[in-house]
Amino acid sequence: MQEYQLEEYPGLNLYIALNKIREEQDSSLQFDFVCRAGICGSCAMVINGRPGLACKTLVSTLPKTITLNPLPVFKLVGDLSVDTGTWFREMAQRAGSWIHTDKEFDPEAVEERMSNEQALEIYELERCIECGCCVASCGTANMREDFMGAAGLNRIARFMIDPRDQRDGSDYFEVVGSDDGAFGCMGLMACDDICPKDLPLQSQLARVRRAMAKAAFAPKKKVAF
Amino acid sequence: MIEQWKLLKNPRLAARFDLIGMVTGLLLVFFMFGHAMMLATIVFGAETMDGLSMWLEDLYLAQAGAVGIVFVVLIHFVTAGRKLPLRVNEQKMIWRLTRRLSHLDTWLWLVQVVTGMLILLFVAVHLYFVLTTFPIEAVKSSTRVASNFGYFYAPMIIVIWLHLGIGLYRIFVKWTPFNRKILKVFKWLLILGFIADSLLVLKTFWAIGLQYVN
Ligand code: SF4
Ligand code: SF4
Ligand code: FES
Repeated sequence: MQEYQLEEYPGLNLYIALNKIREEQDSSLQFDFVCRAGICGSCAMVINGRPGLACKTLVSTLPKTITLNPLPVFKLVGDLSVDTGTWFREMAQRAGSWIHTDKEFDPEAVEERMSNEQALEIYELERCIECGCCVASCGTANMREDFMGAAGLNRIARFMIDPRDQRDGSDYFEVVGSDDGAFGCMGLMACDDICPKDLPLQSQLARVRRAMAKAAFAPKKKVAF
Repeated sequence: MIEQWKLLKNPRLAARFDLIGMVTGLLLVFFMFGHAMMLATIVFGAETMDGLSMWLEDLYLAQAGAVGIVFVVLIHFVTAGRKLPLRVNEQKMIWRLTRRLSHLDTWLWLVQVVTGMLILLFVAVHLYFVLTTFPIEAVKSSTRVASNFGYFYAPMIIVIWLHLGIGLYRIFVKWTPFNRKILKVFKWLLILGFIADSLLVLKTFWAIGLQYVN
């Protein structure tokens, strides 16, 4: 653990503080940032024990001594920098994070309509910035490598709402009907409390769980090998 | 990559286990509500409670109930216990996370694990004494409590209602979109209310028992 001293001034946030340290005290310090505005999700780290975004955290809200750690679960790049990209890409692949449909895409046709409520709900869940805070704060994700995390289950919920996606309960069951998905979650709700974008993770986890419980009792599809 | 668990005969087992864990948990919650209410009849005097327990025993409900509940407890233990961190590095990870996170719900899960284990012990001892001194009679129970067994039942009461309250809260959190702030208030009301109620009942037993012990 390295220690640095820094003079605080009004409006100082952790992101600026880290940059100052890198400029003035230790040019080798590794940490990530892009947007500085809580949009890109790259500056997530463990701040006094809690995952959060450095650029969204004012130093004035923290005690005098601040301890920073890299996010757990993800692969460590160095110091405070972790590789969330690989994890999220794998998650997206497993979740089948695209609209599954057998309809031909016709660039000339008018777009299909969906209800305003559906559109708004999807928009709400799409606000996830893939910062990884929910995954890092999750007891299950910390214990079990293959757990999809709240971000993954939220992604599934997003496609469940989408009327253009033709997957049904049993298709989703293939993806999240196991201990790596909906039934791995123990309902500790750290994800819900910690998500810096305040996504409604509790209700989305519940949505996926209910759908998966239903699918577990639906008649089986015949699969031939 | 083919995820081979999907080729198993029954990939629905995880879901089934999860549901069974919940259903048995709920059954035990209802059982405990009933149990607490029946014990509370002691407040109206030993005769009232004896009347009730005799009626239950004549119908063999008490005997069948005891066997049934042991069964449900075991199933609940197995299905809910699947989530326990069994490997040392899992335990280390969850312990480090919990300590750092200062997040009450995550702490409460550890409370759930510990109380769950303790309940197994408590229930075994409790059942041993109840079943070896069958039938259930108020005087017998009170003398048991007053002959220092109360010190066994007081922590048992606290542990059971904690486990029950936290578990019930987590069922609601996991399956419903209800507002968690409200659920939390209900959780603590339920836990504290039932602990207070049960301790009062225990005190009544103790007082009655003391008359006989001396
Ligand atoms: S509620 Fe589920 S996904 Fe969220 S932190 Fe807890 S175990 Fe992880
Ligand atoms: S759900 Fe929230 S905490 Fe999780 S990755 Fe998305 S924005 Fe971050
Ligand atoms: S730098 Fe983009 S979220 Fe903090």
